This record gives sequence, C-alpha cells and structure tokens, in this order.
Amino acid sequence: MDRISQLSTEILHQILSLLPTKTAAQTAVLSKQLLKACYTNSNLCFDESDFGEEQQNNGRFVDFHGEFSRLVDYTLERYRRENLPISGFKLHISFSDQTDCEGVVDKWLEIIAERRASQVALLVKSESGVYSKRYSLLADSIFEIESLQVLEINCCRILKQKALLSEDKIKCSNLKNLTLCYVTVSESALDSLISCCSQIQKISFQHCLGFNCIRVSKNLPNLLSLHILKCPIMEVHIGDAPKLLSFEYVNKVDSERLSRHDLDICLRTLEIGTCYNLRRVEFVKAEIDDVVLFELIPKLHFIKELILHYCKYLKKIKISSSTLEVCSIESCVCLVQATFDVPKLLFLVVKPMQDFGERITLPCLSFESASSQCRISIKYGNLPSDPEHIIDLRKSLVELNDKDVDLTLDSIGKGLRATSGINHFPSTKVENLTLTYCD
Amino acid sequence: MSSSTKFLTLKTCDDKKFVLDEAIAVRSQTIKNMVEDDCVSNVIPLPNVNSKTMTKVIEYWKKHSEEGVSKDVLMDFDKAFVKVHHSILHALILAANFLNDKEILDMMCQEVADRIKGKTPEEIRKEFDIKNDFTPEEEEEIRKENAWAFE
Repeated sequence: MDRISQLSTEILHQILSLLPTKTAAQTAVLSKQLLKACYTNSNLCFDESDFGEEQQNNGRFVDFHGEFSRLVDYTLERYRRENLPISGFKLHISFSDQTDCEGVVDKWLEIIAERRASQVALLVKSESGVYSKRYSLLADSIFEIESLQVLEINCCRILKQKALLSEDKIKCSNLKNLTLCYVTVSESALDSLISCCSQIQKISFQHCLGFNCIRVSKNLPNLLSLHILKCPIMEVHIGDAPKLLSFEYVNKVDSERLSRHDLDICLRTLEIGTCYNLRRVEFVKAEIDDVVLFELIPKLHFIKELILHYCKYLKKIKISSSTLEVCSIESCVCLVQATFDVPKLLFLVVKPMQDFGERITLPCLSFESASSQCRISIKYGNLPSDPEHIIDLRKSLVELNDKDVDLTLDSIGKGLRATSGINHFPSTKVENLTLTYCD
Repeated sequence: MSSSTKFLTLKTCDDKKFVLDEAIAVRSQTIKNMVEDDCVSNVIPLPNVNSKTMTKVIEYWKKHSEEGVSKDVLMDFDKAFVKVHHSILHALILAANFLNDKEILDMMCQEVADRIKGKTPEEIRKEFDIKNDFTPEEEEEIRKENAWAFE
C-alpha cells in the first residue's frame, strides 16, 4: 500500500525541506501527491553547491551557475504568479560578477518580501572573496518583511547610506533570531537594525567587519543570548537586557598561524544596563581588565558559569558571587592572583598560559568562601622540566590545603614521570602527589 | 511537585487501553492541552492511533523521560527506534502529528528524508512502496520540466 503519498502536504513539505535541492525536486515524479507537495513547498531551499561541478567532463561545458540562477528565478516567479505562500527561503549562491548578482538577488528578495517569509537564510558569495565586492543587501527588501522571525546573512554588505537603510525602512520588528556571518556592516546600520527589533531573542555575529562597537541605544527586553565570534570590536553597549542569559565573546583563532591582523582588536568594554539574569558569561581573548570584570560581576545576580580565557589584561581578580557554580580561567598570561568568594562554586578549572621556554606561573588561588564540594582542576599542558616550576606548583597546591584537586598533565616534560605512571590523578590530595626525576 | 503520581488512561482506535503517568503523557502537546483545559475524563480516546504504534510512542516517551540517561544511550536508542519498516515509520509520523509531539515528528521526517537521499526515483518508489499514478507521458513531462534535477 502506498503510504508516503497519503501523508498530508504539510508533512511532505517538512520532509522535502530536509532534502538537498536536487533530490527534493526529483521526488516530483514519484506520485501526484508528491508533485503537488514539490510545487507548493513553502520552504524553499536553493543551494548552488548541490548542482555540483563533477559533470564538467565530457569536454562539454555546463553552465551550472546560469542554470541554477534560472531555476531560482523561474521558481520564485511561479510562486509570485500562482500566489503561493513562502515561509522559509534559503539561498546559497556564488557570483563572479557583482553587477549580475545584485540585480538578480535583489529581485528574488523582493519576491520573498512580497510573499512575507518568516525565515530567511542568505549566503551570497562573491568568488573573488574581496570585501568590497560583497553583495550589498538592500534594506527595502529584506528588512521590510514584518513577518520575518529568523534571519541569517552570510557574506554580504549592509551599509548605511541614507537611502539604503534608514530606520523607517526597517520593519522587521518581529525578528527573533539574527545571525550575521562574514557580513560587512556599519556601526550605525547595526544600531538601527537591532534597535528596530524589539522582539529579538538571539543575536550572533561571526567574522563581521565594519563596526568596532555594538551600541544599541534601545532596550532589548527579550534578548536571551548575544554571541560574538571573531569580530574586531572593542565595545559593547546595550541599554537594558533583563532576560539576557548568555553572553559569549570569542576572539581566539584556532590556529595562530592563520591569525588575522584585525583580530588584534579585542573587546575592552562591556556595558549592559540591566542584565541580572545573565547565567553564562564567556570571554575568550578579550582585553577586559580587572576593573571591567569587577564592575560586571556584582550586576550578575544569577551567574552560574564564568569563562575567562586568554584575557591578558587580567592581573588580580576577585570573584564574588553567591550563585557561581562553574568557573574556568585559562591562559590569562598576566594573572597572578585570583580570589574567590563563591560559596556555591562546584567546579574551578585553571590552566596557566604555557609558552615553551617561558616561565609558567600558576595564579595564586585563594578562597574566602567556597563550597566543601568544590572541585578544582588544574591543567598543565606540558609539565616543564625545570624543577623550580614543580616547587612553585607544589607550593600553590599546598596552599589549597583542604580542597580536592585534580591535576592533569597532558604530557610530562623531558625526564619527568609520575611514579604512578598515569597522567591524570583523580582527586588526589595534594600531599600524595609525588613526582620523581629520572633520566 | 506533588508526590502522588497522576495517571491517565489512553485508548487507541483498536480499543486497547494504556495507563500512563501524566508527566510522561504530556510530552504530547495534544494531551497536554486536554489536561490543561481540564477536559480529561477517565479515558482519553486516540481515534487516529493504533495500539501497535502507541506502544512504540510510549516506549520512546518512557526512555526519554528516564532520569540519568546519558546522551549516548539516547542517541543509540533513537537510532534503533527509527530502524523500522516504512509502514511503521508512516504510522509513527501520523501518530506524532496527531499527538503533536514535535520531537518524534522531526525525527521521523528526518529518517524519511535520509532514506530518500542518494536514491533514484525508482529506488525511492521501491523503498516506500509508492505507486506511480502518472501516465508515462505525464511522467516524461515532469521530468522535462525538472530536467535540471535529473542530470
């Protein structure tokens, strides 16, 4: 018995939206019900990479790009003509010719705006990869969609020119989820955009350029998470974000060899009017200093997790919080002292900065109050062969007298080997850890 | 929460009864709405779901309500759960749709999509027993119209 064809068109749409563009289109020949589903699918997904280039053999040149553009164009025109709803639109296309791109994509977005889509994801890539040749998004198309809830933009430019992005043209006040990835956007354009989205819940900026400050003059009453990944920004100012649960700032390039010059610009200021609901704060490679941290922490009445990695301006910090449970401090090169007044702390991870040949200093850890169940985990990537370090380490550990400490040594330096022969000592009391020197 | 567990009785279309902890049954948005609107009498009829399918659904609900189950265990469970004949897959989609359980519905749709991927139309028809209700001419016409997809 034929069952799949009996599923409602709605469910078939859901299944189709999980398939690559080409495969989804192929199912049209299966049966009449599927043909109907294919032709009315309100979730449109066009991915040029599905079109592949593997068939360019046979000495025959196939213009996949042209074919793809024609398909998108034909389909969208048909939806417009037949007055079919479009709720989701996903486009992944790359262009070698900027002019050619702008005309076509603008028109498509116009249709999408007209169809009142609620979820839009765009990846319009210029093949040259040059910033200035990125596709410029027009405000009066996409940001005009009032029904828009989820917007993801990749590899485009959003520039504020009076005609292009004035506040009265931004009508996407229902936007809940905004992701900008490899997008060039000016500071004022960004401010206008975010200020108009009072419903916004999630904001994520990844590899974006063009602004070195996020300044949102309005309050964002529904904002839940703000995530900034590898954007050269120095300041974040937001009015009130009372529901904000998570703030993440990560600026560390995985491989230092690929480090981009502009990533030397790091976050220095974080200012959020009210953010007493923040549960998780992460700073990776931020240039915040002791003062910023000191001022921030008392504002966070419910903080549970605090992550400070590669924050080179931190020297002496004191963390007082009655709610903090997890704290991770890694590779903060200048940090000499960390004082904790955290009665609920359950887990503390400390990893000192390690550069070959350089001195490793484990910050002095002192506790004004901490839970008796608190676990402290100290991670040494490589244990140095210099015995002085071992003595330092031992001293710091002894100071933690009654706490359980997990000491992890990823690889043990030349000539040093733990007698027990394992690299990980689960909850050994400090006094029990012995290291011997053997050639 | 109160310590006394409340139980609901669900009755499938083939008149089989399932007694279930309310906390588990409300994974179904449909049942949850009924409970919240207080329109639950003794037995909740599920006219669109048969007992065989309901047994599977409850198996899923119970596993995913267990405490202290690791993610890996759940993933393995889900993997095994979707490995069923397409007729059961179909019944589960309809049941999840009726019960308004997005989690099961999403998982099942993903499974159907995964089974479609990488197959030719003929293979898909065979996999799902889809009857071709087109005349050869009609099919040819659709293929022509979507020629780009068949290259």
